[in-house]
Amino acid sequence: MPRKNVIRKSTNATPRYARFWPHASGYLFVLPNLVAVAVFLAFPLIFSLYLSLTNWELLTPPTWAGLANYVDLFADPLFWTALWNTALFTIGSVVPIIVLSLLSALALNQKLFGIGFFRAVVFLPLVASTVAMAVIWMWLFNTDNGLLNWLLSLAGVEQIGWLTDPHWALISLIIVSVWKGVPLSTVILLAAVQNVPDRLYDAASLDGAGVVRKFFAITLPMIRPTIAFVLVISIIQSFQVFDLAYVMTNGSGGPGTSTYVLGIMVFQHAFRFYEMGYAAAIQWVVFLILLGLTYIQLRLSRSAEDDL
Amino acid sequence: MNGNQAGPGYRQWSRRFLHPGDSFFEASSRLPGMSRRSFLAGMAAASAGIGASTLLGGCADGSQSNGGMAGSGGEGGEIGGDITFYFGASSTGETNSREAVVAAFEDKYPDIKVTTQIAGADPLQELLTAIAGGTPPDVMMAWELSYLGIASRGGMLDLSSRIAADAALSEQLNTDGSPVLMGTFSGGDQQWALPEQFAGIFLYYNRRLFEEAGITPPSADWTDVNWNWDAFIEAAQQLTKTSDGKITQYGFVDAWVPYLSASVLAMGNGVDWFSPPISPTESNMDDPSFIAGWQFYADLANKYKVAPKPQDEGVAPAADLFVAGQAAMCLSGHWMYGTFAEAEDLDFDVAALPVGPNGKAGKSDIGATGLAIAAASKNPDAAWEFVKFSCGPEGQEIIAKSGLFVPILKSVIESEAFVSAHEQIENTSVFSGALDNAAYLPISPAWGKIEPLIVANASEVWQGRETAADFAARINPQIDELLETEG
Repeated sequence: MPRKNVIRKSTNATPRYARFWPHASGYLFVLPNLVAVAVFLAFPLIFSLYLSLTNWELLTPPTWAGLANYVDLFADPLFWTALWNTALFTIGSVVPIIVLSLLSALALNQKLFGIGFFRAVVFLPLVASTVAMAVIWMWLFNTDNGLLNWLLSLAGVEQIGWLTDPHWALISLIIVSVWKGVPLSTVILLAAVQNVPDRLYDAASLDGAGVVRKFFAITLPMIRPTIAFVLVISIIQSFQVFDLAYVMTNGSGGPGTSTYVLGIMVFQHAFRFYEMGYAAAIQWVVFLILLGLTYIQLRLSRSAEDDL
Repeated sequence: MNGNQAGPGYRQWSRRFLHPGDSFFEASSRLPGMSRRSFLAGMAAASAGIGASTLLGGCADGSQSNGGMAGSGGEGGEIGGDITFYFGASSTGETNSREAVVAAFEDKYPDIKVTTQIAGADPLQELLTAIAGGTPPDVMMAWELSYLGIASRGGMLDLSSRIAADAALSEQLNTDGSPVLMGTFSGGDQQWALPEQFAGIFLYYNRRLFEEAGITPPSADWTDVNWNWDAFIEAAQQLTKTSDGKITQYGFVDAWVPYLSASVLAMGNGVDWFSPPISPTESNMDDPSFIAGWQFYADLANKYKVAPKPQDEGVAPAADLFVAGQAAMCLSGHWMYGTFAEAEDLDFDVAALPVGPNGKAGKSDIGATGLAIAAASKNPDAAWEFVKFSCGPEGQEIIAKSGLFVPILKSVIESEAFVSAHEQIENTSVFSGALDNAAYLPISPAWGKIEPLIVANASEVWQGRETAADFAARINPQIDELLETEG
């Protein structure tokens, strides 16, 4: 009897709303996050789409422009320059980031005395603020007094105008971007490498597999989803490069248009040219490109998994 | 950030953006309806207050607003409430001197409470975001190169009728103020800001290095034609020292912004940068005298090898070389005085910039910041009192004592307070001379687009890969086109 009573009581204690909405408490728990996403992500996203269809000088009300911003954008030679530079920067950054972070993840996976120290060192560039380290890199890149050119002069190489020569400026940005991008990818890949079960390697050793064979036959297939994730993240981050280019080129994307990337173009149009609608249009094109790239990558990695 | 650094200053340091989307969303997440509503509210508030006609456009006729002005009567008394004051400062010293002005103002007007807002790395972007969001600061600092972009889009209150209605102020501006500084902040019939500080550029030189080399120091007289480009190069060459093929002491370094420095030197060759200087319709960058100035500047590093290459100056700070005694002459503005005065073992003075072969006098620039009132200010009357106080004798004297700024009133520049704040140097006349020989920087709504064009392309000239003439032939038509379409 008493036992039954207890059960009945607890049934009665079920909130009334639960009958209409069974998982209400779950939704209530994620509500704060949902609100944050709606206010700070979904709303700005939709609103910027609206803005991209207007001409908005910030200080006066927006006026409807239809697709004019997009038409102008595709006819703007600087947009194609910026898109090309951004694509170069992205490819130039992402490929070395993946290769180098994979190598350093493998190296840091060794069971060595003091490995924690090396792991901390590799992680350091991630902790530094982008602007602060961009300034330090500018010192290293200085043509007359920079450390890089001094080292090169020891090897008899002529001075390179790292940030002043249009042929080198984008490469210099890529170097810093790789230096900055490797740590996070390394940490993610290191976690994946550590999760590969030891018994697979033991079995392979018994079969007589060497280090290289073990890497390609076991490690790489096992961490492929993680590599795909790192790839997506790196591409998105590189494609949206702004702070680095802004600081290292004095905000101009120079010399010439050699480092004029989409991030700088958006900023200039929004806050220097008073063309918020145009800036929103650029940003939406960037958004769609990244959405497409991410979709293709996920499809590719999924079909690769199916092959296994 | 100082007035004269306005151009480069807000470019120099990026805000903490992770990616452009952040900054963009920050502004775009505010409803346009809201900004329109608050704009209208601001207009209503302004209409209710004095000087209604200013906002409604027809400000040329002062008589209408005079009626309202007379009604609200004298100073202090009835005016009260809260205002916000937005300003840029490059050091705590600058912040403190502005806070001192605020404190003195609040003593005099106990009913007005001033809240200060200090600019971050990118004042223009911050101001645009605040105005677009419907919460502009009531009083905002106006930077000479960028203010017109805000003013021409209705972000600033036209002050002309308020000035006209205040006989004492008009008299003071006419007799003691500087017409060129007022002109920097005026567009036609409108007056968008009152000048608050002057920051022209000039030449700092290391007295000891000149003495050791036995060279006559540069002239303190801006009209001294013997202090010309040839004399400058000769001095710089004698003061440049090399060891093992590396330069250990530069004759000259530029602690300002290369394209601005080159242009000011070019204006010392007898030509304006733009004509007319305010709201220009034509660029003179293809004028032979102007080209000669740019080439002269580029040659200092590339041909005569007496200066580091300009594009690198932001990297190996020129000012540090001067402080360390590794540069004999340094082009910069008054904002560096404090740093140089504090440096140990640095015996320096100031001098005029050299005259070009076609010029009659060396030129400084009209680098200035002013104080403006937001069009949407909810308390423009209190804001106006603050602007008048800061730019008038009382505020200017506090500024003068700090030694951090050149005041804009002649009586204050010549005052004991200002001179005694510059004990370390003898040639204080260079400051007032700079104001008398100051040339206009480009004041145009199109400047936002022209500046990146010049900055991105000028490096070819600084690196010696392109002549100033080729640069001008390539870029000047584009500038003229921008002046036509955006100006």
